Amino acid sequence: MNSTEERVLRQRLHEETDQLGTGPAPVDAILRRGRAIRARRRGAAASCVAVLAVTVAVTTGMQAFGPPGNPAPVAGQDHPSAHRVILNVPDPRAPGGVFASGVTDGRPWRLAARNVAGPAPGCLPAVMLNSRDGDLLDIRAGADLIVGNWAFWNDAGGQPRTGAAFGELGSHVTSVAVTLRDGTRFAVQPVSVSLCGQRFRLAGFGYPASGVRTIAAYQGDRATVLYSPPRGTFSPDSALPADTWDNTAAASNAASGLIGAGTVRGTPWRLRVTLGGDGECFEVALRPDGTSGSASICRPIGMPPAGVSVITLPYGTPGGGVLLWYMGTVSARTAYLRAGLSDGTTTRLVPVVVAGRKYFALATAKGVIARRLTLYDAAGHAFASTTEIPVPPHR
Amino acid sequence: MEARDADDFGQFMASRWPGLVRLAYGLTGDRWVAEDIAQAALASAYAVWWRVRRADDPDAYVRRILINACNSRFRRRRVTEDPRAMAELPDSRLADPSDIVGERAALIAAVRQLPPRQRAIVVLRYLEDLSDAQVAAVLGCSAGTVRSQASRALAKLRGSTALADTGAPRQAGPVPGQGGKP
Repeated sequence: MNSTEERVLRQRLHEETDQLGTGPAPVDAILRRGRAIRARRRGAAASCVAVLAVTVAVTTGMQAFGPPGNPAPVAGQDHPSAHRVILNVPDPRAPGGVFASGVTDGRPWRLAARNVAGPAPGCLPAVMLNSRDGDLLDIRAGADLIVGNWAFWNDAGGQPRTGAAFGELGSHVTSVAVTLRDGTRFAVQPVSVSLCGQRFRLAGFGYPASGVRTIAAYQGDRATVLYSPPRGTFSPDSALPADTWDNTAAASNAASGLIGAGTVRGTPWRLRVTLGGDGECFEVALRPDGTSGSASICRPIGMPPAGVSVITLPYGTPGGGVLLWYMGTVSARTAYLRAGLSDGTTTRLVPVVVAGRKYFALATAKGVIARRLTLYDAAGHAFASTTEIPVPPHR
Repeated sequence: MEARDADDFGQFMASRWPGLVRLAYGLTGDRWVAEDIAQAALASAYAVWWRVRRADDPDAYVRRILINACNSRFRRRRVTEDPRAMAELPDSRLADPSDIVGERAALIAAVRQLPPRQRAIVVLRYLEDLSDAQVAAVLGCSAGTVRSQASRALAKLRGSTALADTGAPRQAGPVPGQGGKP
């Protein structure tokens, strides 16, 4: 970018914000909120007294807790309210790219580095939690990481609530010390993983619902930097989406592509998928230039399915109607698919490849929903079919 | 003790409020969201005021809180809808001075599309006019990272319509530092 462009950028940003005309600071409201935060923290700190601390380091080596695969209890207190956090000793040779695993409050978890693209030539490195929920690794992040690029995942549905975290670390980091919000402290041993022609240094752990207070990266015996995740990441009343990864420094969008286009009720539309820090995001733009409206939905990145993985995206029109799109991923074997619709018709769709993954997109007319999706291979054989297609609530 | 804290913090807050709202607006593009985030950031700062006050650079500390709050908020917006009626959209290119407003809005929209870190770097660099070292201190990264991320961000902005006509003379609107002349 040349200096003229930089000057224009600076000028336009200033012009835009100069006209804001902010009023006086809402002093009382801010002080009230601040006092409430203090009070919550004091309450949390007091409750920690009743919770037995769980502190065990696993950085001392594999022999500390036995061979890989044997859970190493780091919380063994027989106290009814104690959290139990178990970290298995990392095994760089573990199959399936597993670099961290354990059990938190009785709930097992496993973190694995996997290629979530389809068959070659695509390669998209990601970390999968329990083989389901993926988060892309940022290939460019490794060189200048200090404390690491950390991602957190909170389980909303399960009881007790637990979470898992992983971090991409700089090559100099030899261990990581984690302090949970309930006072528990433990160490995590990073593992180097090769994937997609890149080398990643990863560390992962599980945590109870209270969340993580700090993460410290060590080089030998020397702590290099301390990181505190935003409090809202673990707040029970947080509006953060549960069951999706929450990155501290979201990876840049790794791939994006158009997966469908057409006309519905006279309105041209285009649907694009983007794989990046927010997961797998689908965005529909009404009218090709995207100026007349859009809707989007994101979900965690999954491995390419053996069959089909479908979600829906409704769009409320200004006139009160609802347009509806179906989209998702299909098996790499899929040459085309047929959608059986509620009006008795069938639509043939050819999947589009983005980042080695096969996608489809379908728009339905007013009042019509998809009933069945059937996948066909190149020889025309139907090899998978599903009627489990989500229906939007206002249908 | 708390009363003294409140007094200290009150002075800090009064002087920083407009700047923090402006920064949040640059990051979010929404005035009301910006005020809410600035409030949340200042409340968080007040909760740890003893730490903020003793920080080497309290402004950098609070900016960092605000940027984290913005990022959290953006992450929450997993499902979005932008139901603009087609009838509200112009059929043809607008004439000045609305064009200028449109360009600025396009720029803010383009900045919002950047990944969180790049967005923060652009706003801190070009709106807050911080040096690369100061931006690095706010974001907890190296100055080299700031420069490389800024370069990527600017390349993306150049690819959008937001800076498409930077060679063209401006038709309306004040220009900072030039006495408001066109």
